[in-house]
Amino acid sequence: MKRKTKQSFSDRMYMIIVCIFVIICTFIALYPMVYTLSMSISGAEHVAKNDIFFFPKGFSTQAYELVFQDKEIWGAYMNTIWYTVVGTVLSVVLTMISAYPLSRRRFFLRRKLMLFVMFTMYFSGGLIPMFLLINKIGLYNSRWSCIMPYLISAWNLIVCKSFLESIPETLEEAAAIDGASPYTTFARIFLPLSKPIIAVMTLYYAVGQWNGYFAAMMYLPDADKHPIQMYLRKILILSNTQSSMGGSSMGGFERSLATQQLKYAVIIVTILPILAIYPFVQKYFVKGVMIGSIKE
Amino acid sequence: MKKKQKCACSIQKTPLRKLIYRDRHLLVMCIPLILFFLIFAYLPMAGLSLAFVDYKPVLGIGGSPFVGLENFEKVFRNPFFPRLLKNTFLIGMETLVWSFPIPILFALAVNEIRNRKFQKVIQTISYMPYFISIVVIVGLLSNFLSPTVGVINQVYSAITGNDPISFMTEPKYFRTIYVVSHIWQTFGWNSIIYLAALAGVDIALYESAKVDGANRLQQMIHITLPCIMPTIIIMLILNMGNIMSVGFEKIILMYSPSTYEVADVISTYTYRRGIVQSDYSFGTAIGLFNSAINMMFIVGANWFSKKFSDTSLW
Amino acid sequence: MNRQKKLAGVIAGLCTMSLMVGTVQAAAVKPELPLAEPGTETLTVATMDNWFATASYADNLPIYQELEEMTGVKIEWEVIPINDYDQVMGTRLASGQNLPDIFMIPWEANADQLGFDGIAMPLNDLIEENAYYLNMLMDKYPVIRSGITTSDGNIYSYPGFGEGYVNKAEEMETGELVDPGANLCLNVSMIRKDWLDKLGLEVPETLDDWYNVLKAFKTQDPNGNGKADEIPITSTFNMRDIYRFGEAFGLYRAGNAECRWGVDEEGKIFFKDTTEEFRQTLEFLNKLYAEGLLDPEYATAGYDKTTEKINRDLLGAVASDWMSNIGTYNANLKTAGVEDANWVPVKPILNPDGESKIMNRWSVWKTAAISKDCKNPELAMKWLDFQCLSAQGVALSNYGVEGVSYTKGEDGIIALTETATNNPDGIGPQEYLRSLGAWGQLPYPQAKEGYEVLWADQSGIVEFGQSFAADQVLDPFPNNGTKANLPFTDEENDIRSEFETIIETYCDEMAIKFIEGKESLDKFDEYVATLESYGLAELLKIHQAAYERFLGES
Repeated sequence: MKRKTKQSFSDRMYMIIVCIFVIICTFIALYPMVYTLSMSISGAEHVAKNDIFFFPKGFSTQAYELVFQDKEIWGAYMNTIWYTVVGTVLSVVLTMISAYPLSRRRFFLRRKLMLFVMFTMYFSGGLIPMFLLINKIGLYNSRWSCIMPYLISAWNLIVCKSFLESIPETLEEAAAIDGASPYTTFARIFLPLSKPIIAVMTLYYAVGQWNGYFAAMMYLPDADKHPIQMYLRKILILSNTQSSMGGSSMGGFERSLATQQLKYAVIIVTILPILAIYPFVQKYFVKGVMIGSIKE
Repeated sequence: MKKKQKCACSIQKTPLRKLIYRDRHLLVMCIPLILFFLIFAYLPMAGLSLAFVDYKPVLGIGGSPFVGLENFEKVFRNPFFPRLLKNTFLIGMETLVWSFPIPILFALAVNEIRNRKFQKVIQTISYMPYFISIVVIVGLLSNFLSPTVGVINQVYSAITGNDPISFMTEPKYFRTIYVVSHIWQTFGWNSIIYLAALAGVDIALYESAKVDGANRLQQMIHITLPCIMPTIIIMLILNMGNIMSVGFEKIILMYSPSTYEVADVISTYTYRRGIVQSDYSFGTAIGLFNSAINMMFIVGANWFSKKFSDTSLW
Repeated sequence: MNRQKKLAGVIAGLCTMSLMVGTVQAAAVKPELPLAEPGTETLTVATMDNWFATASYADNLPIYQELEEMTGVKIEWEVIPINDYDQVMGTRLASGQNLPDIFMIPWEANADQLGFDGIAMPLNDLIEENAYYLNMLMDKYPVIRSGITTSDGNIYSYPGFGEGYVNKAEEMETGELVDPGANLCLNVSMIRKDWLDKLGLEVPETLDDWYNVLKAFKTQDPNGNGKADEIPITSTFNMRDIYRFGEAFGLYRAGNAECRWGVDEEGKIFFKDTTEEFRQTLEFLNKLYAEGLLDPEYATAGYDKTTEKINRDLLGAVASDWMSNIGTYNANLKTAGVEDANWVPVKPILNPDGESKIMNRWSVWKTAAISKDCKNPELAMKWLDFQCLSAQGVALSNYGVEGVSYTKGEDGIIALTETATNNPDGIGPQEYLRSLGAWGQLPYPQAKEGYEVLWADQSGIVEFGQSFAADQVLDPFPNNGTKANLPFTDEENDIRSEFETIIETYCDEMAIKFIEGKESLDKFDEYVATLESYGLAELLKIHQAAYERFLGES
């Protein structure tokens, strides 16, 4: 505590540079969000003119009113929450369970399984066979079609496995000597030490589900089951529709000021909840593990 | 059968039966993993055969006429193919080179900040742009950079007195704009994994360094950085394998015929060609080729890393 | 194979054939409502969702509730966001699984190929026997039939229509069809008339007029802010909009200038982007660009950017846009504080013969198809036909629901309600109609009356649309790239898919270089030669063949 006053000059310079860097980064990162928010609540004529730079000009909640008039959005919200919660829980559990054996150096199938997993990151059969598969196993038009194909992400699995590798093997050996089965070792020793990576995985999978639309778009013809991102995609076309489409059967494409503003409101409505989960996840970063101290 | 034999020869010391028995618990834990990838990744891979047939929906994947390498020939005799390949590689490469280090720097910097509240706020803000739609981000870019109404050009003209620059239609700026906006959108999100890794660094190490009289910069370089090095290397290898996976969504929004020469990549070209133009075989062939290049990169990167740093994916 | 079975099959086949021969004669009669006992029949319809995105078809919009009441058929919707439709439906169609009864043909899909591949049902007999209204219309306009017939002689799609086929809804009931004549909603150049007035200029007629007007816009500060920030002209949807200046050299393009193919007086197909006239157009555009009269962003144009420039009071003219947008542009500018803003449509530039001609867009599209999995194709056809072309259907799709969006006076005059013209949510009349389900994605005809009703307060536009004499209207080439194409064969489609993107990519890229002066126009011949080497001749040949096939149909 007393040392605070005795910071060296170089340390102080270093901290000033770090702070400036971080503050600049933060401001740059904040900008798109502020811009979107400002666009969504400004007067519609300013949105059409596109003369909003940072702060809102004028004030109007018309876009939000249009959004919330639509009953569809609430159902879509509930669906997204369901997909996110169920998908994330299953994914995190399965990823942790699978990452553990892959991280054990003595495991004889380790290398083979890694290649087995890695290969799928680069080669995939494409849309048609996947579509046929979903149909064949009866997932078409089922909510599970948004979850099952994404249960384990190869990328996340590898990240997770690398983290588990950093936990010393000595711990495992010690547990084995005490007569614990690998399941117990995994549950009692590894899981508690893996809080940061579990937090990261939760975040990755949750955000993946929250932002996900592809499965719903492909496999869910029934609009009642659509997540909120599908709704957002619908709104976004109001902006830049491909011209070839404009040319054909539409016969003029009127867009009033109110609709031009719509996309910004929908973006805000779509992302606020997911932004809110990060602070919870962060908690586990700081609590952290202290591998070193256990070692001693 | 083949697989088993291979396993047996690679591990010569212990017989397979014993290995299975020894690792039976680990094997049980692998069951969901194996099932998942078999069903959702390997089964649909039968679709890769589309690249070698002239696909007709009524006949199905198995029944369509076999055409050998004709689809690949179509790909290679396309006069734009060399350009597409070059653009895809350059965009992928530049994105990796520039957008890889920034999240690490940012995570290290954030880690230096001791005020927990401030740190939290910064982290939360930094990952916000990741959630803003690409449509909005590209819209913002073209606003800023517009030669007629853009802020940047107004400042530029005011200072230099030159004519405004049409950034979005000038080929030489395309990649820079693409990469910078990519960093803008993802640096916070990509720093999460490093922040998590930083949480694992043993505080005792700093204490002893302080006793040795190391200043904070030195602590960062000699303690923090080495501690997260394995994570950095793993992420680098993984990203190397994504070099050729340049998606079309953002480029479609950003490019125009005036920037085709640098911006047209494999995915945008196939997109323009019309995914539905009943020519799935062409798409699959070009995709297969792309995957092979990606695979080469990751295998290469992993080999390199194994040789020089001990860290390896497999 | 069991020989007996085979024989039985042949006999059964013969029987059905003779049956079909017997029934082909039974032409469709006017359908009686309801088409099915209410509550017994359901049809699944897959479509891109509503243009007005917050009102989804899945919510059972008012006009479809009305339709259900009339026909007794319940519709189960499978809606997909517009931009994703091609990918999603394309995959479903290519995998041939779980197909809906009726689907809208994806924009980029090859409508004919879906039929050849056995995904879409052949409709010749179904139309003959069940589509009373379509038959009626095709009898009057045989070109519709040639527009949807494919190279194997079959029809695989139910058409959607632009303008030019239906005059008034009620005529579909009485059967006394009146030819609506030229299109009312045209794609033309537009200009700020108030700027012209301010500078004492006339609406441009010749190419030189245009040049002078654009020059004046740039140099004489018509928006009066003391800065030369005016953008004289830009393109609206894509860069090819500015090719409209080709009119001055006699090179016409339909609609928003998408199609690169044309046919000359002798019936020879030609490629527009290699003609001398095109070279001259580029030369003119190069001059505009060099002098800063062409928006430097013309190549990255998009609807959003153009409206932004309009709303900022910067833009003087658009090269090509739908007349229906004029009302919106003027209204938005007024909201932005430019009281006297006045966008007007401009007649096409005088061609070398001193005439102003317009090329209509081709307005029959292969819009809807009935899938191979449809269990009740007769009903599907009847329903499609009723919702598209019956008097009730035309009224619903053009002016919405009576009492809600429009009222019918005693004299039969249709007028939009206050809710539609002055909507409390701030949306425009066309958007309001779309929020009810009108002006939708399913096939419907854009009746002339529909525009008259919509533009009741913009008489200037209606007059402009009607001011073209019959000989000033050029027939379009029956191919505008999206959902309308010539009857190509399977093999020809293979050739197209290999060469077309290459050619288009190169054309657009080079045109920009010529316009921006990065490549000298002396190299135009080189450019043509390169195109030839990329397979242009082959494409020309198959287009010629397909065109002759098309003519043979009508």
